[in-house]
Parts: sequence; structure tokens; C-alpha cells
Amino acid sequence: MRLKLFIFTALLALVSCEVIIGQDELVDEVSGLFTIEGRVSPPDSLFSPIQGGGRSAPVNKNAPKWHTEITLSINDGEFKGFVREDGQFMISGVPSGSYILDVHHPDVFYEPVRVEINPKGKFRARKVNFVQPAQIMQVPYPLRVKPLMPFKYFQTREQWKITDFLFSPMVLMMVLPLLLMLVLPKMINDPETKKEIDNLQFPKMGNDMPEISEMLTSLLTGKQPEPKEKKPAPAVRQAKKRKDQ
Amino acid sequence: MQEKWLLAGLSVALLLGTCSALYEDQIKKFDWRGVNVGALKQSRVDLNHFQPRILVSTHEGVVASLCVKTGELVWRQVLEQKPRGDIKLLQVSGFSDDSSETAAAPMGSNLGFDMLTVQGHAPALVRGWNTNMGALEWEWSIMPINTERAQDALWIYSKSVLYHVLPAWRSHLEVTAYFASSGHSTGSTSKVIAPWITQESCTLSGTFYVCTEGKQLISLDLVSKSGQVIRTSLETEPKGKTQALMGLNGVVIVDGKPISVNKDQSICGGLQSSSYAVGSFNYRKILAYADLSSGILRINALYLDNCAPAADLEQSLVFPEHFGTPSLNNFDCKQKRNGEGKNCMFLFSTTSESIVAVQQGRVRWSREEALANVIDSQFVDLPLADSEGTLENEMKGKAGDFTSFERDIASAFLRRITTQAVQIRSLFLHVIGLGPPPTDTQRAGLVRDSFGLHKMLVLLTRAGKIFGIDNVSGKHHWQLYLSNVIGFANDEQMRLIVQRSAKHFPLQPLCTILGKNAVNGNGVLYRFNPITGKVAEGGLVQLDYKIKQLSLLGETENDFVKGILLLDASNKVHVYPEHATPLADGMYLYTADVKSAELAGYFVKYAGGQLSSTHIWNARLGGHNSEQQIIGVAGKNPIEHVHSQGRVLGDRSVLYKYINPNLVAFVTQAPDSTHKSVLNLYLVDVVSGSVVFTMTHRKVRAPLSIVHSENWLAYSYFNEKLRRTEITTIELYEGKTQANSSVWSSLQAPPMPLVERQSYILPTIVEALRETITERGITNKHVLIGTASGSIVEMPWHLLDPRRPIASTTQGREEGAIPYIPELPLPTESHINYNQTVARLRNIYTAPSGLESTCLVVATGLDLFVTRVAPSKTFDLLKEDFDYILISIVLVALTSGSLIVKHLASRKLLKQAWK
Repeated sequence: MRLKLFIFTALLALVSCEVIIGQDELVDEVSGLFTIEGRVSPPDSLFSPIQGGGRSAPVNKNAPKWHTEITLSINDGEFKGFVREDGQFMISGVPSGSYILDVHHPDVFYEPVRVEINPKGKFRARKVNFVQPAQIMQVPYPLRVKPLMPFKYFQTREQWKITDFLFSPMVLMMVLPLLLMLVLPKMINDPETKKEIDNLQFPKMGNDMPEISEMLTSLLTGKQPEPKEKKPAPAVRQAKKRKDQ
Repeated sequence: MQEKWLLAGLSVALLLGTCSALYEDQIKKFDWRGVNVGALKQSRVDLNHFQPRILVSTHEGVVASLCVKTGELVWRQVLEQKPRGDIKLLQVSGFSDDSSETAAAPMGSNLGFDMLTVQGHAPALVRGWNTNMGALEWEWSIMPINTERAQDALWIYSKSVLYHVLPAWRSHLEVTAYFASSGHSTGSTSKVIAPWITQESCTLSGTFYVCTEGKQLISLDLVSKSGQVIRTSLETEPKGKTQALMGLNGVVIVDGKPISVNKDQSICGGLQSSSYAVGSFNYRKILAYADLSSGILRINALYLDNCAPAADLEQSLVFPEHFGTPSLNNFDCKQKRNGEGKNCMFLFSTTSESIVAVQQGRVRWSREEALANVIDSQFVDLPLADSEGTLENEMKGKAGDFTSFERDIASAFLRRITTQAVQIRSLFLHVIGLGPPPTDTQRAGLVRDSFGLHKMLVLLTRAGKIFGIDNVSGKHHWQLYLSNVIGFANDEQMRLIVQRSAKHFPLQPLCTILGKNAVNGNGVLYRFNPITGKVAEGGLVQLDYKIKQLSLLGETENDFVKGILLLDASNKVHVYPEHATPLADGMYLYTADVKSAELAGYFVKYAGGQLSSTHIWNARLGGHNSEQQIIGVAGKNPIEHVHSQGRVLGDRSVLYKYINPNLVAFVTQAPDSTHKSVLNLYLVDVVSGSVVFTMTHRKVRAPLSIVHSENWLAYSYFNEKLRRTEITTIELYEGKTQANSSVWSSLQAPPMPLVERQSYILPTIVEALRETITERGITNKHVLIGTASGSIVEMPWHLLDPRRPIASTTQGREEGAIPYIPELPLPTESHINYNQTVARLRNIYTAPSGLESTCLVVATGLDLFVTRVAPSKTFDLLKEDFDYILISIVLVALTSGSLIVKHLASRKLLKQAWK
């Protein structure tokens, strides 16, 4: 079997892939240092199912860089692990204890894992829970670290849309009464009620309207409205109203 | 119920968190990152690979591959922290000290590698790397039985075997051989008796272990079976330490002369140089050497087989002073078929921690690796443009005194007219091209902008190199190198101080560096102009006393320089410059001894032209058996303004803040038999020496980071019992009444403050904490948290607030406090450096900009990251995405609409009138 492996590698002429990692277990026990092992899935494994199959997906030019971008560290770089081309990693020379393995990639979130090694060299891996440390949720060991989601660092800019504009409360507040004012009177078919409304509304409006329009015209043309003309106007209208009655 | 609370709290927190996120189109608009590797240790220039590259290992524990053309990083792997990450050996396949270059084992034999590194000593880690992409290929480790002795262990590589050489001083050497890529031992450890070996006199050159003894070299070939001792006599007794010559087996450099102890390896005689390197040129081995004399770097080379000089490679070039002294690290020449390769690249490491590549008689590129160890930073305002400068002058004349202004209104008017005339004239001259040439700084675009966001970032590095960097573009405008200046005793680094800011036009700004002379330990002052990087007002000043403590005084009246008050080792006080001495009267100083945890306070008095200091108080924080050591000291930023004096409570009463500018936080740590480790916090008024508040944490240890500002303090530590990082926040309040609202006096001590405290869990390891600071202090304060993964997270104080209520109360809600949740979220939107992580983040510095809303930030570590943050959003600026088109459309539509309506209304009126 071993010979076969040798031939296989020789044929492939790849030196790197099939190297045996690690040392005899015996040495570990003597020195009291242990090796944490596992495998990291590359960050693009997160996107490949969406893109529909690995082959049709466009080749990510940054893909080979993930080996150097990803860091596996314990206690802020006291112990570190580096990723091989196939995603396997090992952190050697770790004394027994409880550690949090931080897997950090700048663009993709990997969940940290708590790894516990007892003095006999038994490994246990579990989910990190800072708030309730007594709650134990075990995960398989050797570790399999998978990307969870891409980091969302940025806010999306608001884009201007006509619907946003139309449904904004300000516009609604202005448009709805306008609609009511213009459309409602026309919807009423009965001529008598129409007349009634006409009679009810116009005198009131009439009192204000000329003044506003006059003010506007005076403002825009610069002419002072003559007070003499203004005073008889309501009187005329009042007379008109009486006539109607 | 609890979950519901958690959810509610989280949603609030997330809402708060998103308020300061970046937009995607803002990437690199006002932030930039510099990526470093650290000072060069070993390198391998490889121009003949199908992908030319330079492989380097550094003193910072980094292995990297550099691009030959530009020096940019191809890939980088940051190894463990020291001592584990200390790289002992870098071996690149195809380069070996042996003449037979068969380092790469046959294909498929499991023994090949591109590059291997050996690092650390207990355990020693051996790693094989793929040099094209930087991925790991294999890894193995050994744990020596005697870990203390293993510190001196050396590693050599020869013919796919790694030798671990463990010296036992004055006794013997233990040599163990391992197959390089598998870690399997080839046999038993061999012991070589060598009673002459000492730490100072020995080096390992290839497979030869060489020691000096008197006028002779005693060497051993560790690989050969015979174990013969070779003695080589020298002409004179060596003065310095012997060095190995990389690339030649059994050749050492003794006082600048190469000497061979290997009878199979001859070396040319009569050479004398400061640095050597071996490489090949036209398929022949050559020895290159380089020397710097009066600013000119000369590179020479000779063929090793016949000692003839290789004239093609000889070159000399002007070597810039700021690089310091170079030493040739490695070189390689492009091999050509016709044997006419002239294209050689020489790689130098320098005393200022730069990496310089020389090719064809000029500096091809250089990397400023000193920036991997920034120890202090300042943002300095840029000078005004000339026209604005004259205007400023006029304003200053007015502001001088108002009474005179009232009187000579005529002269003021005249001045205004003349300045404007001058301006018009200069504008005219400029247009026709006859005006005065712009100054250097103006040509470089170093002119103050209207918002004060563009500043000169002055960085001081541990190597003694100072950089002037544009904070917007990241361009290095100038560099300075101070040799023989190091940090102070008591683990204090050198200091960078702004003595005069750029506000006092036409006076130039002035910066000062304070350090210690590496030779005699006396204080050193270096004064320079931070805009141009030129020496100013005397430059380097060697003091004749040791500096123990320093402090800044107020501005002097005539030249606006802030004096520096220095306390020397014999507790005498000095002021620099001397004419500022009277200002030191009535100053207080304090010192803190890190090891013994002792604090001392001094009072400075100026009487009869003499300065004197009086020791006025003493505090011992060492505990009953003096085990405690100070691990953190945090004062407040002296330029801080506190805008709001109090906090409005739910019942509309005001809780006044306890704002004591003299309050300093000290944190001590000591091992404890029952609680493993105990951390104590002391808040001490350093003028009166009174301890305002103390707190003890049990089963808690470093790493510790503190941030201290206004009336609050936050510090993070590692909780060993629950194995998580926690952050404790403290707020101090005077109470519902304020003792004295106008003047603070530590001596007329106000009553002890009310203390609010709370602890939170942070789901990360904290490397650095810093508060944001703005011009007037109106903007909310956020805390910048630097995490172990190199992110900088902006955390609003609302979330760290110790007054966050545990149970929902109406009072809490009225105050606007968020209900307490134990774990603080670190939303990705508030990572101000998005995916531009800062490797080995060490510190964050903040400075106000000219805009009240904006704070300038620089994060240092192995990498450098510069950006700006707006904690309360840019309320004083129009939004970047402000929709000018929409607003003009609306305006036009409204005006035209009103005109049309006016027209219609008048028509209707007319019609009605005719009815």
C-alpha cells in the first residue's frame, strides 16, 4: 500500500501533497505537548452551491490566496496553525488545557471552537459559549471548520426611487387632500347637493382667495393693491349671494 | 423572559451599531493600510526561478515572498508570537552551504521542500512551505528535554538532513540529526566533547562549529564522522564577535576578514569589508562585499575560484543617509545562456530596519520595515497657504486687543486694503508666471484644507527612524534616522512631542523627540520641523543627565513654544528651552516604578532664578509582600475637552461628572496562591497623591488594555475562571451638586466621587483600547477596540455605560439607557477597517481634526492603518450622497408650479368677476 502511494506521488510529480504529517504519538505523551488537527473548508465553498456547480463557476483569481489570508490562532498568536493546500491544518506543541481556536479570514466568518485537551491527551471540541460556560455543545474532533457567512462590513446606499418618493408621508399628506378636494366634488352626481356644496364652499374661499392672490400678484409684480378696489369686492359678492337665494 | 430581553437589547444594540458603518464606495477614500514584514533576518534573492522572487525571514517572526521588481509582498505568513515565532533558520531548496547543490530530494521521496523554517526552541517547530503561494506543506516539532538550555540551540541543514546542535557551555555539544521533511530521527544523539565553548566566542558556519580562543580559531566539523578538531591561527586577537559567512561551509568573518577553517573551501585573502555575501554569476561562484564610506556605497565582487575581481558587478551609488548603515544580506544575478548576465540584485538590510534593493548602480526599491514597530505618533496641522497666511496675520492683529482696534479703525482699514492689493498683485503675477516660486511644501500639496482633515502624520519607530507621512494619501514625505538613541529605562519608549503647533503663523511647527543615548544612558533631545523633516533649533542635543520623567508646560509668550519639564535621576528638574523656566513654577510631577509598584509625587518651585523639586508624597501599591507589579498606567489625554458637565437623569435632575484632570489609573498584577492571579486597580490623584478609588479582581490576568477619559474608565482583561475576555467600565460622579464648577483643585479635595461600575463580556481578545477625541468634545465618545484578529471595532459608550439598568425601569428608559446584556456584540458594520486587518495590532492613536464631528485614527502593529471616524455621523457636513439633482428639480418644479398656478388663479378670478 505504501509502495503504491509512493508510485502514485512519483507519477504525479507532486512533492507537497502526500507528505505524512506529524510524529509518533509516543513523543507527544512524553513531552506533555499535543497536536490539534483538523481541516478548514475554503471560503469559496460558501458560494459554490449558489453558483451552481464548481465547474461552471467563474474562477476566482484570489482563490489560491486564502491559504495565507486565513489565520488559525490560539491566545492571540501564542499558538498558530497554517493551512495546507488541501485545507488540513495542525497546531503542534500545545500543552493540555482549554483553548479557543480563532479562525479568522478577512472576508468570511468562521465560528471559533473551544478545544479542550486533558493531561492524558484526550481531545474534546465544543461550541464557544461565553455567557453560559457550563452549557456544553460538542462538535466532532478532528475539527472541521466551515465558513458560516461572508462578513457584511458595509452599509448599502439608499437609492432614489419614485415609489419611495410617492409613498413618503410628506407627499401622501399633500396629495391625498388634494385628491379629495378635486375628485370628490365631481363624483357627486346629484345636482342639488352639488349646488349646496358650491354655496357652502365658495363664500368661505372667496373671502380668502382674492387676498392671497392679490398678495401674490403684488409680490411678483411689485404693485401695491389699491385699497379702494378691495373693499367693494366682498359687498358685490354678498349681493350676488343674496340674489342666488 | 430573559431571552426576550436579550433580543430586545440586541436589536437596540444592532441599531446603534449600524449608525456609523461605512459605505462600500468609501473604500480607500480616506483610509489606507501599509503592510510590513519587520527587520530583515535572512533572505534569498532568486532571479532565475520561473517566477523571480525574494524569500525573507524577519526578526518579527514573519516569512514572506517579495516581488523582485517593486518589493511588494507576494504572500506573507505571520508566525507565532515570540519566543515561539523566533525564526532560527530559513532554508530554501536548491541553496545549500555544501558545494553539491542537491538539497531538493528526488521527486516523490517525501523529502522534498521548497523552503523550510525552524522556529522557537521549546518546542522547536519545523515547517515546510510552498513558496509560490505561501501555503504550508508539512510541519513537525520536537520538544527538548532541557528547555532552558535549548534557548541556545542552533540548527543547520545539510543534504536533506537537519542537525539540531545543542551546546552545553564549557562542556560538550549534542548533535541530533532529523530527516528535514519528516522529523524522524536518523539515529541517536551524538555528544561531542568540547570544553572550550562559551556563548560569547562561538558561531556556527555551515557544518563547522567555530570558537575563538586567544589568537586562534578552534573548529569542529559536526557532520563528519571523524570529529577532528581543527585549529586555525590568526594574526591578531579578534576584537568583535565572529560571524558566519552564509553560503560557504566553514568560513567565518573575523573583524571584517573572511577566514576559512574548512580545508576543502579556500577563500581569497586580503579582503576587508563590513558585509559579505556569496552568490553565483555566469555559473561561477562569487563573493560580493559592500561598504559605505562618506555616503557612497561601493559594491565589489570577486570570483571564488581564482580570486579575480568581477569587474562587471562593481558599482557605487549615493546611499541616502536616512537608511543608516547597510549590510549586504543576499544577492543574485540573472543567468543568461551566453554568459553575459549583468543584471544582479543586491539586497541590503540597514540599521534603520529598511530593506534596500540595489540594481545597476541605483536603489531599485526600498521597504521601510521600521514601521512595523511604531512607538509614538502625532498628527500635525499643515501650514497655511501664503494668501491665507497674510489674512491670518491681519486677524491676529485685530484680536490682539479690542480697545486699540476701536481707536485705529482707519489703520485697520488701510491694512485690509493693502493686503488685498498685495493679494491681487500676487495673483496677477502668478497668472502671468512671474510670481515667487511656491515653497517645497506647497508644491508637495501640503497645504491645510478647509476642514483640517489633511494632516502630517509623524511616526516615531523603535529603530529610531522618524517618518512624515501624508495621512490622506499615505505618501512618505520625509524620513529621519537617529542612530544610537533608544527608549528609556522602566520599559518606557522614546517620546514624540509637539512643542509648537502650526497655529502660530509665520512660525514653523516644532517637534521634539526625547530618548536615551544608547552608549552612556543620558537623555537626548532632537528637535525638527514636522512638515519638512528638517532639523530645527539646534537639532540633536545631548543632555548631561538621565531623564526620569517629563512633562509639558504651557506656551511661552514670545515664541509659543511649550517647554519640556524634565526630572533627572537625582530628582533635579530642568526645563528645555531654558527661557520657559518660570512657567514651571507650581508644577507637579509623579513617577511610577513598574517593578516595585511605587509612586512618588514632586512639587516644582521656581525661586530666585532656580528650579527645585520637593518630594511631597509616596504611595506603595506593591501589596503586603511587594509582589504586585504595575502592568498598566493610563492618564487622560491632555488636549481633551469635556463639553457636558453632567448627565440628565430620568427625574430631570443632573448628576454632575467627577472630572479630575489629574486622575491617573494604575493597574497592578501579582500571582496569588489561592486565586492564581490578582489584579488591582487604583485611581490616584497624582497631584495630591490621594487614592480616589480601588478595585480588586481575582482570578484575572493580563493582557490588559485601559482607556481613561472624561469621567470614565474602561479596561479589559482575561478572566481565568470563566476563560473569557471581559471589560469593566467605571464612571465617576460628584453627585447632584457640583463643588466648584469653574476651577478644579486637587488640593482642596472635593468629596469622594460616586462610582458606577459594570462588567461585560467581549467575544474576542482585546489588544488595544482608545477613545475617540474631537476638537470641542461635543461629539459622542466612542471606544475603539483593537482585536487580536486585527480588526478595529467602534463601540459607542452607550453600550459600555455602567448605568445600563439590569431590570427595566422607567427611570432607565427616561435616561435613554439600554437594558444590560452580558455579552457585547461586535457587529461587522462597526469594523472601521473592514477587511484591511492590522496584523499584530499593538496600539491605536486618535487625534481631533478641524471638524467637530470627525476624529483621525491611526492603528499600529506589524501593519499600519490610517482612517477617520465620525462617532455621531458627520453632522457638520453635507452628506456625501446629498442629492443635488433632486433638490434642484424640486425647486424648479415648485417655482414653475407656483407661477402656473398664479396664472390660472388670476384667469379664474377674471372669469368669476365676469359672471
